[in-house]
Amino acid sequence: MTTAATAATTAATPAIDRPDVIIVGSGCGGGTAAHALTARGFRVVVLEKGPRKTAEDFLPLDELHFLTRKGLIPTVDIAPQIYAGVDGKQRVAVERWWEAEMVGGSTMIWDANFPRYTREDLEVLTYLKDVPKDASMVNWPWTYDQFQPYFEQAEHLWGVSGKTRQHDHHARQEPTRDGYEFPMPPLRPHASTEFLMQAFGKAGMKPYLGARAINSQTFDSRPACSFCGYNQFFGCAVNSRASSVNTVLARALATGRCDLRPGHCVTRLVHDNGRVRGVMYKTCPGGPEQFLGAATVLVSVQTIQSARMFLISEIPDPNKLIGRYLTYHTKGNAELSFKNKPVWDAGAAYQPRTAIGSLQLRDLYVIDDPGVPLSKGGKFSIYDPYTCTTPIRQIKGASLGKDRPNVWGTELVDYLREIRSQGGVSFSFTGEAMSLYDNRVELDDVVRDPWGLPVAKTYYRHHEYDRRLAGYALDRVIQVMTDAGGELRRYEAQAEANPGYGHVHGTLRAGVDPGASVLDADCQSHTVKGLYVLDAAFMPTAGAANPSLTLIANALRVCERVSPS
Amino acid sequence: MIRRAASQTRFFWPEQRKQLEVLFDAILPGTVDSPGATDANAAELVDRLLGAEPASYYEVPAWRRLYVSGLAALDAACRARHHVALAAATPAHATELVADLAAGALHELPATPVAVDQRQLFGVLRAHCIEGCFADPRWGGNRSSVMWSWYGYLTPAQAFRRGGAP
Repeated sequence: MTTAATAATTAATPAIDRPDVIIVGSGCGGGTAAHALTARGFRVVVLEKGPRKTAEDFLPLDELHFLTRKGLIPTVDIAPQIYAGVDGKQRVAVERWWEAEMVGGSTMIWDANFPRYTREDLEVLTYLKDVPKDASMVNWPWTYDQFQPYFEQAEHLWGVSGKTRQHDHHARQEPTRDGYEFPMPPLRPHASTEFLMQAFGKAGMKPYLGARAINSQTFDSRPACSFCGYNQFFGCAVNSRASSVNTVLARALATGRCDLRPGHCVTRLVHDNGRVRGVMYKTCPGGPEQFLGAATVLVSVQTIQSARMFLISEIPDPNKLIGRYLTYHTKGNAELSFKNKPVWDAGAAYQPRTAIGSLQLRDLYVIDDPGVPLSKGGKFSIYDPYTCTTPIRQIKGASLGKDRPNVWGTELVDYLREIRSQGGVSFSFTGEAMSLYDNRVELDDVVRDPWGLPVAKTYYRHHEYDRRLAGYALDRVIQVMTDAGGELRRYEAQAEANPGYGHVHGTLRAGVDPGASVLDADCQSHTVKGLYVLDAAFMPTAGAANPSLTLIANALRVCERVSPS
Repeated sequence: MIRRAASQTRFFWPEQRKQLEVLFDAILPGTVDSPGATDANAAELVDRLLGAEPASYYEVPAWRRLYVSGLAALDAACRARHHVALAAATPAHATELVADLAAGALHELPATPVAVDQRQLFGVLRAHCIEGCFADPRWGGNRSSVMWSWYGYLTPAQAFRRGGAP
């Protein structure tokens, strides 16, 4: 059966030899651009390195194959990324966790957590006090109010379930215009929600049900989530979870003005005299390079890879800024168990066994605590570890406290007895990160990918601010949960090293000053006209929420301004 | 290439297989009312994982080398410390060995013919034991979904009673 939602994976697309626009990458940025530009009447070619994947590629759902053995991301032996360690002298080959090389990109394996970046992120210098001297924190060249219409467009285009202004805290923390609502109500909450709301309420905090690009009811010809129990790193075979394929690419292909070409690896961007001319690409490793011309090229192949493509293509860089200011969000995880609570009962009103987190907490997005030198914080996603996390992943992380990680033997038996019988909660922190010039992407001078191109090498260390922030934020929520009867089990605060796991941004900063940014305020290269970047490489700073929605909203904003000639 | 079905070929010699079972039983022991690695036949997953052709998954060649050298070294350490082969070690002896291995403090571990990174070996043993217990039974472990049933995965948690226990 072919529906609009699956058309992009199966339909033959028209051959367009002389496109108005070439789009490199078919994930959330590239797919959104294909939709936005074909809707304006332009003819586009989308070049995607990976193959088309269909439901058969995602079934049978299997944790060992897809999550443990990383079945849908490039394996590290074939196409790694090299991490230079905190001292810049190491050579550690690491996975490229968020670079699913297939039509739809990482939207095929994401968990579709869809919060907005807010005023605090875009106007960071208003909220971040005492900026560390070695950090380069800048305001974004746009305001939250300018982004609002694009957020709304993105939320309806991609299909968001949720509810705006759930309470006074939420209305303040994620402001929306009067009368605005998401296209679908929230997903069913976890059974622990009421207990957690009460516990945080006593501490003056108020979690809320988070926005997700996952259907809570039939929408856009896609069914409601069946709560199959598999989410992040798994494909959604029934299209309840939004992807580039089942939303924007499907629309672009339906216009007849989109030529989607899987298996096309762009090897470099072609430019001369300050103008882009097109791209060189290969259709198989070792094959010949071929040229495709267009006056406008949009690149959206993930933050680190876009910087790599700029470096390989020798985009003029008079101020040595390409690849710089790479940021990973500050991360932290904690898990607690409640001796006074039986395992959460998944009654009909709640989510059954599933991998979708519902509650979000933004009360530490801005920290107002005179006792600590922290001001710009971050957001928590709150999960029930027993029902949200597949068992191998959950049990490998089995811990019985800060000093007792990765338990085994009788302690592991104790952990298993507890998690199957007591209520639990886990927290995942996404926090602001200090932008540092030395955190960067370079081309590795040893390893090449199967297409013959040098792989990316990253230099990264988290600033002391990041690490203090993670510890502080975790301690705050742990205290609230401990007061409610919880006992700490797992605890992981941000380390200085980051080999490459987490939301990633920067490397091709956008800004109005050509001396301090790679892209202009329309995300067009300062030095090569007609060349745009739509993935999170444009983000001047990290922000502190899951970045996809903001990336998509920005792609919609940019595509209003692109003028192919 | 990543295989999407378990290999029908096994890797270990019978003595090695027994050694692995002893170690896995120490990492996740069964009790009177909870199943463990032996109930799940967790070692079967590793036996088939390593029995697959080396190209099936990029870590298979390194894991093969680690298990061959690691099991031999642990057997030698067990004989030196407890005067018994690892395959015949009691649960108490195996637990003691694994504890020292996890701490990187198993002094009886021979340095030749291959020096084994103790913490790395422990990490792989623990990870594979958990996979052998909690992966889909199609991969060879988690016999009859015994661990899923007790843990409460895909179905509500079921009680477990070892044979004859009230």
